[in-house]
Order: sequence, then C-alpha cells, then structure tokens
Amino acid sequence: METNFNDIQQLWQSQKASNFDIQGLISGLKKTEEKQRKERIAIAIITPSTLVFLFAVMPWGESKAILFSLLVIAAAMLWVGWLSFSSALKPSDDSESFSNKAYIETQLTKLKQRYKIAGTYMYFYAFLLAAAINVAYFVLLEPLSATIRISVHLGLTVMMFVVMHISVRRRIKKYDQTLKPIMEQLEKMLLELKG
Amino acid sequence: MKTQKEQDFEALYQSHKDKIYRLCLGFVREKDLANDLFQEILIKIWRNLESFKGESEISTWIYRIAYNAALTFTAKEKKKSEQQTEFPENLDLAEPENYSQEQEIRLQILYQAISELPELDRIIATLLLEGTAYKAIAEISGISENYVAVKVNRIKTSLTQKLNPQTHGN
Repeated sequence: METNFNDIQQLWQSQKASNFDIQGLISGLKKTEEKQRKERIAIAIITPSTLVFLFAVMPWGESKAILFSLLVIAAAMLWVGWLSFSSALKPSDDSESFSNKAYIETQLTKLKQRYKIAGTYMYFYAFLLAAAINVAYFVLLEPLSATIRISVHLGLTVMMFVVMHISVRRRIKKYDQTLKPIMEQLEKMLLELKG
Repeated sequence: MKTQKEQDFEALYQSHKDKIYRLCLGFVREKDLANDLFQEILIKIWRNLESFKGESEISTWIYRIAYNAALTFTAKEKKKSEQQTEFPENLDLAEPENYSQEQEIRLQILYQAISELPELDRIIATLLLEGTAYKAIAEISGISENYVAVKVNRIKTSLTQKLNPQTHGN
C-alpha cells in the first residue's frame, strides 16, 4: 500500500518527547542568570576602576599632555569594550527570534566583525595606546638624557606592537579553526535561503 | 512560589515540547545530540521569553528561535564532524520502545530522507510535517510564500518517493 503525505505526517507526529527535567532546567537557568548578573556588575566596575586608578596615580593636573594621554587611553578602552560587546554572540538578544534568513545574516555580520576587530581594530587600538603612553612618557621622562628617552620610547612602542601582533596572530589562528567553518556553513545556508 | 515567567515557560514547554523534539530529530539524529539541541532551544526560549511582544503567534516565535538554534547548532556540529559520516546508520529514535518494528523502519527511512535535504528544505519539511501553514513557514524562514510553495511541492514528492521505494523504484 502506498504511503501518502498524510500518512508521513501522522508517522512524524507519532513521535513524542521523552520526559525532561524542566524544573531542574529552570533552577539551573536561574542560578546561571544570577552568576551572569554578578559578572556583568564586575565588568561594569573593572573598566571605570582602571580609569579611576590611572587618573589617581598620574599627575594629569600638572600637564595637559598627560591629561590628553589619559583621555586617549580611556577612549580607546571604552571603544574596544564597545566593539567586543557589539560583536559578541550573546546568549539572548532579539536576533534569536528573527526569521531564519535575518538571523543568519545577523550572526554572519557579528562573526565577520570579530575577525575585523582582531585583524584591524586591535592594531589601531595598539597605536592609540602607544601614542598616548608615549605622550605621557615624553613629559614624565623630561629630566632624563635624550638617549635614555629615545630608547624608552622606541622600546615601549616596539614592545607594544610585537605583543599586540603575536596576540592578534594567535586570535586569528583560533578563529580560523573555530569561526571560519561556522561562517562557511552559515554562508552556504544563506545562499540557499536566497534561492 | 513560581514566578509568572516560570509559569509561562512551563505552559509553553507542555504545549510545544513534542514539536520541538521532532524538530531536533529532523536536524540531528543521534539521540544525545538531539537532547543537547532540545535543551539549547529550551534555554533560548527561557532567555528570550520576556522579549516576546506578541507581534506574531507564539508558536511562530518559538519556531523561529528553535530553528535558528538548530541552524547554528548544525553549523557547529558539521565543523566538529567534518571527517565523520554525518548521519550514522544505527539511529536512535525518540522512544523506540513505543513503536512497532515496521513503524520504526519507516521512521528511519523518513529521518534518512529528511537528513538528505539541504538545511532550508529541512526546515520547510519539518514544519510541513507539523501541518504548519505556508504563511507561517514563510514568516519563520524569511522566504516568500511563493518560494515556500515551490519548495513544498519538491519536498512532498521527494519524501513520498523515499517512503514508497517499491512504487518509485528507489
């Protein structure tokens, strides 16, 4: 006897979910939410605290150059923090309830943004920090000889870029192994959705 | 005492658990993975519950979340098992003990047929098997109703052929 589509539907709908510990799940979720809330509070405190510390220990009142340097560092930290936040695949945001096509597009944009942050923006971040720190050191090292000052400026700048470069390379290598295959899959799905 | 959110979540769970579970089995056939996906979907529904604004049917909203979770889950799983066979021959079914042997074989053929479809067609196929209207399928997937109709015809033919190998010679 031939199976028609209604039979297939009945066959499909005959499957039932096994019993699931929904109370245990809710309880676990509530605990996780509480933990995440505490983490968010901690993050919200750490960045401003770092900035407050810098302003407390640096003699910014004595020199406009040091004040400028601190403001650049603060702006750079906030900018990178915002970039990371906006590209994070958060456990919950509105995109979860978008249509499949819109959802995949959002996820792809965010993943591409993470690559861009690692590959481009982090170098610019290093440049901003290096510039700001060099400005501050220019003032703070004034009493020292020119040779020492030039060595400190050069050493500091090179060290910052080398550390940043190694960290960026590592990050991109990790993304190539983890994010890239997911992005390729999502791009394939998106092509399919676009017909 | 249970909060309003807990009560709403439990009600949604009771009314949609079977559909969500079947959706999971349409995307991943290993029981452990299907359970992982099922749990992931429930977590996403919980986390998004307060953002439901009633702009669409609650079931459409749930399906969107569930299928989006299934799509990213599948993408991640494919990455993990690129070198492995995607769907093993020995399949786990939802509740094998409840089925007759014949029904079990037919279900395995149905899973196999669905697993051979591309992701978008899997979404449409599983929604179709749940009896979802074309309009809702279009809303969930983000494609036009006309394109849904084209896909539906192909999917129905494909599934019917696969479940009737003696008639269609497959």
